[in-house]
Amino acid sequence: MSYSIVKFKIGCYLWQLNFFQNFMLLQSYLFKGILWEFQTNPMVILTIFGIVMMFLGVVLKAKEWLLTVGLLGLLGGWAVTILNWDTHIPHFKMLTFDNMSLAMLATALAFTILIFLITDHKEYEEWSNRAEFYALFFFSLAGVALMLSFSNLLILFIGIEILSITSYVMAGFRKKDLLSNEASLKYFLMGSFATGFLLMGIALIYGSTGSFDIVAIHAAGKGLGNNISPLYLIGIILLIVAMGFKTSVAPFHFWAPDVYQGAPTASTAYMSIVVKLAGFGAFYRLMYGAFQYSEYSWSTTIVAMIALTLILSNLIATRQHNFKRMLAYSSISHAGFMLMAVLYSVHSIDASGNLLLYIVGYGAASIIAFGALQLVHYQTGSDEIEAFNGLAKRNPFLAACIVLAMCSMAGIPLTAGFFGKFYMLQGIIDQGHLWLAVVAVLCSAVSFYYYFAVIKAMYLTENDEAETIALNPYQIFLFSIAGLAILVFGVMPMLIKGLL
Amino acid sequence: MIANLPNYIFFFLAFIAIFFAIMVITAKNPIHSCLYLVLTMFAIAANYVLLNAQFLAIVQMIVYAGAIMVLFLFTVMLLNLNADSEPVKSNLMKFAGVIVGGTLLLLFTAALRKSIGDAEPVMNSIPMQIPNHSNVGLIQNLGWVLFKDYVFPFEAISILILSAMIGAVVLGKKEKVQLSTND
Repeated sequence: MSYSIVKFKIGCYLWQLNFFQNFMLLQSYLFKGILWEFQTNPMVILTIFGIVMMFLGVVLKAKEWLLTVGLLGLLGGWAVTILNWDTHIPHFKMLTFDNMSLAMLATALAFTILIFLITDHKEYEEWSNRAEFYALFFFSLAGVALMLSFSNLLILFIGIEILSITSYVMAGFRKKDLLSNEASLKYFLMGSFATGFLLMGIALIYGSTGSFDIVAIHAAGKGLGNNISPLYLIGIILLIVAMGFKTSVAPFHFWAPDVYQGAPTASTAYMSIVVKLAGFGAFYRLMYGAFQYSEYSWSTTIVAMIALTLILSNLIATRQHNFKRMLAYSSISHAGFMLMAVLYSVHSIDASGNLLLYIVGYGAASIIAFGALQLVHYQTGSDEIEAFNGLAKRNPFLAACIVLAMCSMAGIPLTAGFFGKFYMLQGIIDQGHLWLAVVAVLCSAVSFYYYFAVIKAMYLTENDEAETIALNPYQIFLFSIAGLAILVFGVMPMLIKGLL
Repeated sequence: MIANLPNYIFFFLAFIAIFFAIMVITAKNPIHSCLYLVLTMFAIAANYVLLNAQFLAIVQMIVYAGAIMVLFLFTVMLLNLNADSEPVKSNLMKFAGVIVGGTLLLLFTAALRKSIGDAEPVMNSIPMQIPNHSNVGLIQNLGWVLFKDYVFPFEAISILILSAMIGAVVLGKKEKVQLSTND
């Protein structure tokens, strides 16, 4: 082989290599951005799976695969969320996934997995548009991701709107049920009104600070000092009204009981856990991130809202005979506790960890309550507390899980709910709101009455007519994992609190 | 007088907008309400022109005053609403409404009064970029901003619209009638 041929071959090889490299380079330029966005922004995979679920409803004739694909999508989103821990990557100057938002999003996805397991039930399998139901969950979670990680008020608005519009539809999914129709319409009308407040608030904030960016608003708040514009203050109040509506804090809670009662149980669970989580995540981020320096102007409003929420919800809940309505009022009272984290967020670095712990404990208890209600409702056709009569005989495991959930909601030691309330009260007492803590403890004592009414019905009331309730493996997994979470975080709360 | 002309025009337009907005909610006939709303939309569109946002003004006229109002009118006509079918509200509700609305109005008025007095220090403390050249509202500039700085919200809105569409189809679709065996 002559030298020139070798040279030629090497040249060819090098040229090929070069071409290949260039091609890869081109490809990487094209796809790097997309792939990078896919890897670092959990919202992308959630949106993609939403579209996938939508098409599966048309393509797939066997509907039992829907749930599997949905769970896979949620696990994928969860993995992307966890892998971005500690990265703090900003996206388009609009989103920043910090550890707080990632932890909240991971919690939201974990609870949605459990809610998907609730939908593994005959009631939902009969629906003709089940695929769209799951698709809406995914789009809604994309909205949750936006709300939890916004660094621009426009993104907050878009996130809240995505979450709200999907929730309005989810509430009305039982189309032949008048209560469900009423829930959807009521939620829609009141929610649109709240959106108006949100937009007006954003407009006034923009008018007085000149920016949508929360860092810039934060800096403007620092610069303003005492020379604060009244428009700015009114903007904050209007934003509090809108966020209070989304998180069902009194006096903006009137929609909650009717909507919770009418919506299908899986939607109710989603609204009471994930929507509330997203609402408080955004509320916390807004008040802590943007309005930290004007805290003196809004803390009194928040204190009044907490006191009103705790007193009203607990007093009305004692009058309820319907389990779902009782849970609705109980979720309002928990919103009062979660709002405490917003109140002392400015002064304590523990606030974010406390909020996360509280939401995990509350969510685990709620998911047990709603999962059990789904089973009991399907068997007896009733949402009343009497439907739980004699449940200890009908299914001892389910009854034990409900006892755990009710104890956690009431705040009995060795459950996650106890430490959630404990740290919240500690936080506000450190801020000098002693009387508020006293009100909260008294209201918690009142809450024992209605939580223990359920336990009394299950264990002390006989019901010979009702048959036993059978659980499938998914449901056993759902109840045991939620029960385990309540117990584990009730003994070792630092597992959650120490994350942030 | 000439220097203050935009101010006078603004106050005139604002008066028109608010006056017709009040007429919208006080008119007994729903069709009259819709027509008053058209006038309110036009007054707001004229305000956009004052702010150098010409494109926005045109869009406001075409989309809101045109398309959306036609939809409103059609809906009102199809539903055949009239003064008789208006639900009767109890006096207690009206009283509560007046108190709540009045409180909100008081809050806004107080803030407005104070902010007119203090307006200058607020504006001085923050470097505001007030658009004062006439090209700022043209489609070209709007496109630059929309597809460069605000491309992410622009794309994120598509998720919102998609989920709203799915919701509308799901809720609006007729369920298949299930044939029962024992009829």
